[in-house]
Amino acid sequence: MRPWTDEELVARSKTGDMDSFNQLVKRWERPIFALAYRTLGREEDARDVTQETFLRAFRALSGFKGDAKFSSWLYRIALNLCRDWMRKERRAPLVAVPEGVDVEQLAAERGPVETVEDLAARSELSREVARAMESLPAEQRQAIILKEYHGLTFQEIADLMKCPLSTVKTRVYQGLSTLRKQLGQQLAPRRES
Amino acid sequence: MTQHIADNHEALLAYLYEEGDPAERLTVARHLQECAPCSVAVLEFQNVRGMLHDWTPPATELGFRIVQEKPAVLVPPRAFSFWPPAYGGWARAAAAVLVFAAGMAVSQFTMSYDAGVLIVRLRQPDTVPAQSQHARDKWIELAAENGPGVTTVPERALDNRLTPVATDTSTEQLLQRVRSMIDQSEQRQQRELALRLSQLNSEVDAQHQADLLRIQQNFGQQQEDVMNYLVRTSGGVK
Repeated sequence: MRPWTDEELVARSKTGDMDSFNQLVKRWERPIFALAYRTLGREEDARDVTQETFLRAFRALSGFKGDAKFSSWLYRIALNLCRDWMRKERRAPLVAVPEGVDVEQLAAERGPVETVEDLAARSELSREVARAMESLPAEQRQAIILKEYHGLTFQEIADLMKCPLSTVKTRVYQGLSTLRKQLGQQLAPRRES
Repeated sequence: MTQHIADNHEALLAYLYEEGDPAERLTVARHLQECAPCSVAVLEFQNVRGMLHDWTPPATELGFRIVQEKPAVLVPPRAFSFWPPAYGGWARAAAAVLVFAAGMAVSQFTMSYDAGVLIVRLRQPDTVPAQSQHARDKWIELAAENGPGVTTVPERALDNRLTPVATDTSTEQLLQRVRSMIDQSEQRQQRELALRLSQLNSEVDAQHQADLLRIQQNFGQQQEDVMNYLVRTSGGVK
């Protein structure tokens, strides 16, 4: 039996089928959390934003007409929340590692529960990437996140960010160029390998 | 392609993300075979993209879930009603019929026609009031004084008997009049019962509609509260 599509689950959710909406939550909570985490840089904040995203989506579901994809609609809610979150809390979008903490050792001590992705996330390279991303203007960072991690087309990003297509391409290009410069020292070993 | 790729970011992005016109991407690919600086630049951009994918969010257990909690419908204060809210319209109607029947029983009177005398008995309490007992004793004393032959009058009076003093025709008229009064009384009470039932149904319907409207209005807020509560209790927020 094929799984329900997002559109089918949305239609069922609108009739009050809570299980259908929970399937949507289960399907999209991880991408929304990842988007929030990379934008805000803090796990707890990302969790809060993810929770609030689905709360708002659930409340506004009756108003969702299906003109855009459900995922795009969710991304837009999440991005707006991230923007509001940063504005309200005045928190820098930073993946912060406390001073004096060896993340690799910490990861090793946590044992086999940690996945390969967890270890990578705590690696020095990951920290460098996070810091480089932090240095980008919010618009460039969000455009790159949506493009690189969520596979949206440039047009979809333009619709989400409500800006022209050319603006999105410029933001991605400028952001990648900045990252290329900032991560230049990391790039050399990669090229050699 | 004479323009370097670093000067044409749209072409670069189309090539990097394999998005856009395929012919344009093919042109870029041919240019990269001929232009070393552009090849290095593209390689570095590709490496940047590879590094970006090393940055993964923590594998946090999320498990958000919405669970429908039984909505606590807030009943607004309303005018005092004798009827408990648990009783429905039919229960009220049945109770109204019961009250009506009881009323009929209380006010019931019986008729009998015996030896040319129409007897109409109103329901009386079993115990005779002291004043009535005193009157009865007094009539008995008078009967003893007056002798037999006149005792029937007070006895009839004590029994609430209507003594016919007219002819058979007048008796017939009286019977018709009494029956007519009874019919009118029954019709009036039936009309009152129907009116009462109608009022009860209207009241129940109005309350039902008001409750439905109130539930709809509170539905969004309740769902939000429910989800907040459930997410909190499921460990969704630290």
